[in-house]
Amino acid sequence: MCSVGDDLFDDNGLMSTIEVSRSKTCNKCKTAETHLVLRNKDAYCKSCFLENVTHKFKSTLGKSRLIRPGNRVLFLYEDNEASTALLHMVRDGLNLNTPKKLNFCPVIVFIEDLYHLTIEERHNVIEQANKVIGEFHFDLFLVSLAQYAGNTGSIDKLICQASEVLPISENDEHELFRNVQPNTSVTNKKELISILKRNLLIEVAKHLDCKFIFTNEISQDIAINLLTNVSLACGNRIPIEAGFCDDIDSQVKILRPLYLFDSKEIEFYTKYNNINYTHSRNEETNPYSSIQTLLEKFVVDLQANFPATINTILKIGDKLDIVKGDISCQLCKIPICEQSSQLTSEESTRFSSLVSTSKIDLADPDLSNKFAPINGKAYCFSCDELSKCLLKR
Amino acid sequence: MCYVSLRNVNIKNISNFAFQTGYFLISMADLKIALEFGGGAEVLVGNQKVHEVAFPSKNKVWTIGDLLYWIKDNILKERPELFLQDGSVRPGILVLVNDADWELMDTVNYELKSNDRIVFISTLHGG
Repeated sequence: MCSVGDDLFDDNGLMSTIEVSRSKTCNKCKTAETHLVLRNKDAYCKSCFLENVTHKFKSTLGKSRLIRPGNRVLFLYEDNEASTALLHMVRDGLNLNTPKKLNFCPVIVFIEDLYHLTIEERHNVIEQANKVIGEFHFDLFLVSLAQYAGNTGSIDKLICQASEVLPISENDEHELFRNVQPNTSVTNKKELISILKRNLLIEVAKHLDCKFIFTNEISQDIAINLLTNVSLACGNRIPIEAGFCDDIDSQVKILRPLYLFDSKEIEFYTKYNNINYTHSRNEETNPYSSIQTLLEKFVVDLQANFPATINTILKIGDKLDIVKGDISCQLCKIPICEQSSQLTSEESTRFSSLVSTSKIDLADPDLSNKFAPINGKAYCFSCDELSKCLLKR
Repeated sequence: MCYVSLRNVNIKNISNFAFQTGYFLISMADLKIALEFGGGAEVLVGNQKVHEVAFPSKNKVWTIGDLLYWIKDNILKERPELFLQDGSVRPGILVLVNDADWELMDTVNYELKSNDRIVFISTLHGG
């Protein structure tokens, strides 16, 4: 038996916990007083930390070698700290006079979908978004998700620049789920919203002549999303949604410049840069109400005791490769797995569903056709399941 | 701003403590600290971001651990499980002591000093 690594454990069979660096000086500059601990062990001073964050952001963008000077980039602004921190990093980068200056042209979009808030609170969020983005001197465009869901026609009529023009009504949530069966689970509703938002973002980017979209997911969001995709049988989305770049659309690439940041780094960055940001009221949700919230609880709780959790999940995502196929799913636009000589996981799932729900004859020569995927279908496996809750496919 | 002062300390226990340890009460100023809640954590304390509080410091050393229970008993308005868990803050809530990470200060065992500013920031989206 292999005994490599056995010496990592103490005599009592438990892994020893990592001790926070007891040194009073910063891990990097070795002179200044420490201000925060990252990865539960490395202590940094304020200036080294901020320098490190800026460097990490720029190197993530630089290494990808995708953005050319003058490119228009669409930023998704959301009601959270990561969004505001991202805009701050970009503004800092654009204001530089050194060769490290960022050279693209940001355009900001805010998708209004805060249906758990009152009308007044929703207006306040938009007002705040306007104020924050105004302080950074960027242009803000507003779109209502409910309007998009209700009328998938011309995108130019939905995009507006003045907050007074954006239609906000109490009926928006009803409008959004007009084509969805009333008894649809929260999990499926969240899934539909995320697919809808992605499609809307791509349409807005095309309309505003942007080749790139920057979203603000941090490492924790990506880890939660990866496990959600596994749980909802959307394995084909993992390689696209777990990395830095989503290039499924031929014209617009979705990039995640914060995918290596954790929530602590973002919070300390906003705190140390005095970014005034007021968070709107969170939706009061039971963690057991949907798969997404349950996995958030799982990842956050596990991360508290095992600081490598999120990193490990992300590294697994990095190793997965995209499914090859010519046909794309009509809902999520991800390529559908092609027929292959080997048994696919979709066929295995259908097979176990078949054997556990009906009596089958193993000698039946037609058996393999019963669980084979249907040729020429419009949806991938998970969207096929999801589309069952749509009234009008 | 709200100004809260802790007055429900058991006087008998204090005198016993002072007698046993030979630490006698000297009139001292109260321990004044500022509590700040952000990132959504302010919802749990009645939507008020800053709370200025004072504790009688002459008889007792206050640690953040004690402070957490005091917050739970006095200013936490709803669902304490979203703030406290196993004698510390819930995972996902960051604690800053005078703008520095509390992990550098032995977390719940940090002894509060007058004019300290303790910030609680929630990093969780849902719940």
